Amino acid sequence: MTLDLLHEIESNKFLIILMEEREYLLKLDEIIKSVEKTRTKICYVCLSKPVKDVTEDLKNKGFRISDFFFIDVLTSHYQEPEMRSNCIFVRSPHNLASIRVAIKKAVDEKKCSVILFDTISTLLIYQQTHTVVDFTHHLVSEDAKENIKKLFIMLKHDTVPAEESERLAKDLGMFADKTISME
Amino acid sequence: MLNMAKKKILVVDDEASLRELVSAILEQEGYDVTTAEDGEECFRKLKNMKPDLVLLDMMMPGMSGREVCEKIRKDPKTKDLKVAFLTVAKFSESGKGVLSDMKVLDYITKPFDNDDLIKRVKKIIG
Repeated sequence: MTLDLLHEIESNKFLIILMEEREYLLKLDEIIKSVEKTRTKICYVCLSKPVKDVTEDLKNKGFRISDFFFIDVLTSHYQEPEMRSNCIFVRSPHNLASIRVAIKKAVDEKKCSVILFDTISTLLIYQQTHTVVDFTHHLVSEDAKENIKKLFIMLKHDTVPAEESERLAKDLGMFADKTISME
Repeated sequence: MLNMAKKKILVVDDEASLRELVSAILEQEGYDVTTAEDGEECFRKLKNMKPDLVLLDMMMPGMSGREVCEKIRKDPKTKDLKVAFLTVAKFSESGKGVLSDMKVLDYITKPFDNDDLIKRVKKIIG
């Protein structure tokens, strides 16, 4: 059966999207195309690539950058970022509270109604599994009454040990509206 | 109540204040409460006791509540233990399916009402 991603995004508020690392770039495009069809402002949380690379990729693939607001969790960790009007730079991926504050700003001030986490499994490099589960759960609970969609991309075999990715997927799956495996 | 008749409950939660609170509430109701701060301590305690109920926190460092429950179900010595979850999180419909597969009898959302906790525990073990 063909996966209707747009339908899944529209009918679920907390979605986990699992994929193999080798399929990542291809599947990411599919996800972004589907998210764009929702015609809403998208908050793109850059956890695995700096915003500079993400925006270049999006531009090259023909996506409208004006549809996105970015939260970059990586750049400030390594260098002083070049400020952008469409991005909040979080100082470190260790600082989960700051990521939460940035997301709240993206929702309240920039009116984003879809939050895309690319990729949540990357946080396992910096945090323990239960901390990532706790962080994710708080994010999902914070505006549970509003119609904010949260999509968590997760690689089955990320740079962290596969068993940690699997644990994260299983524990988050207890709270997610749906877990989709993109084969 | 005579000590022999007391029902045993093992409370597993990484938060010390929560363990103390749950213990105090349930001991006052006449239960014999033992605590563990994580999955490892839970299994050490289970070697020497057979509780009537295991109250498991869902989000813990090390093994999560889900993993502890799965391990309990895999061991022939513990597979039939009654388990309920303590959780700050609201389980999704698919999550409730997983709870059902793991034969989890109930889940109590934190923060909980004391009377509600007692009522739910009584419903499971009397």
